[in-house]
Amino acid sequence: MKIVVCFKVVPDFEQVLKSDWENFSSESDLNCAKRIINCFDETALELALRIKDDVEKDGGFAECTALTFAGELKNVFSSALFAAGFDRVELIKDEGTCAFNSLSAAKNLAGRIKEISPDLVLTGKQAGYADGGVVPFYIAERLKLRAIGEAFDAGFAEGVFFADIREPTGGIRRCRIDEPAVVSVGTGQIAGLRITTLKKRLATVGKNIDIFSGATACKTNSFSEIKFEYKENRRECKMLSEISEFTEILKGSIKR
Amino acid sequence: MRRIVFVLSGVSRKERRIEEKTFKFAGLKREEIADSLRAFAAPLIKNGAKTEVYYLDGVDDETERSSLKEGEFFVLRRGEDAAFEELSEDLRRKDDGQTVFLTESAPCANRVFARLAYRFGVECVMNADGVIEENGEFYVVKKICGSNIDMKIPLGFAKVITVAPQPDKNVGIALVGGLGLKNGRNFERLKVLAGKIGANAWLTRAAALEFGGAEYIVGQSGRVIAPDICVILGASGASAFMYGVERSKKLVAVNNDSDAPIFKKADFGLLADAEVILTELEALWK
Repeated sequence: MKIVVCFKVVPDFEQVLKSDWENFSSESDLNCAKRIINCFDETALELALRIKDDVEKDGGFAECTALTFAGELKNVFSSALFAAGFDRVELIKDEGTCAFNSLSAAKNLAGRIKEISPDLVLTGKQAGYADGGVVPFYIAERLKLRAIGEAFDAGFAEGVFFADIREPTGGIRRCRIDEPAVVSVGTGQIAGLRITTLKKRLATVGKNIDIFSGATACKTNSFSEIKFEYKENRRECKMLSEISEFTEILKGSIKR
Repeated sequence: MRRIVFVLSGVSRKERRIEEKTFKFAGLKREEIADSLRAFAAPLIKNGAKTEVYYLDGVDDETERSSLKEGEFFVLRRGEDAAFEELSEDLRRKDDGQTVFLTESAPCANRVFARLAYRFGVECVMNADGVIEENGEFYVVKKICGSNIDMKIPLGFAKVITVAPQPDKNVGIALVGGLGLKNGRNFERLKVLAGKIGANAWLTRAAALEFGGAEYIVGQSGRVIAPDICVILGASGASAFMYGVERSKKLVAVNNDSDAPIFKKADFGLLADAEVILTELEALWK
């Protein structure tokens, strides 16, 4: 069995300085901020490894590939992924500026996914600057695969994959996945990728990322027309000195 | 002349009558969704844009079909894929280059619209917040980069749009717990307290991942609320979380870290431990 997880390394937006936000544009380089794996992708990465564990407990074998489309991928991330249990870590090089071009990102990822021909594709719900959440569905449409969105859990049981999604009306629906599908993972119960030991990380020395050229050149096209504005959401905060002041404010609201 | 097509998912009146006996609907009523989309598109409608409505339904209800007015269409949902193919072909025929397609952001709608945008060869603008006019040009606005930046996309490039759901305004008081609550048991206490004072209890995403209860998340990855007063206990005030509560009339923050960003984003602040304050509140409302 083959499982592919698409992930993206993004800036930690809480670490970005106000001056960088004030000068933000489609070509902004926020590399000065700490880089992290997008939180939803982290959940998807961990789910893939848990599925791999379940498949192997069942006597089977699952090859897990972590795939990203970016300018580069630092060793700190690839070694963490290898140490966590991924068999392959692949990078499709983005030679242009694709921060706001989800269509191009999806086309590049879909091209490599088609070559791998996996049984299951997992992605985080949304990532990247534009927080679009569209790439998983673009990939599914391009590859004519079933798409499942807002999954909060996925696994392997009774010989098939499954994904659990929350219905808007309440309740949980379990989707059986008996054909190749793209599952977009939202907020799950898993906080992030498993923590690995130093021994496991040292064992990854010598394991290399497989690098592929991007199939579609990506340039800032229509996105040069887009405007960006930083609006600092500030209120004038009055600090209360006594708990009684706080409870009076709350009581006043309850009476109303 | 610009045309706006509203695509309404949700359930038909017939399905709703059956299900209302057993389920509580959360914002799936088509009339509410239609109002939300009209409010979003108000600047365009005021500028003379014409509207059409497509209903995606699960029940072939002749009463519904016969009640359609001019400019309203009915797509039978035999299954998501079949409905999508029918809708996609119909909308492609209708597209005259000036047409904008709108729906409310929801799991099924997002899937359908992303696929629709792909077929049109355009980007889908997901979770848009509004339409504004600047110097005679219209822009679709959405928050990006963890809600730190407003992205304004010229309307010419924004053809397929899902609209961010309207905030839940039915709650007067909200109590939100962050990691400062320390554990899930304290969140259970917060829920009991909320029940006593007629409030709703919520969690930050970080707290939900730690304590459990993803359905209680408020923020960019959860619900957006607009209560009269929002009390935030033990949350630092990350931008993605603030997106969910910044529409509150009054924000009161409790945190034991004087440098917490929440104190720059709230109306009132109290430097205190969230668990201690929770105990004080429980004593007041025994």
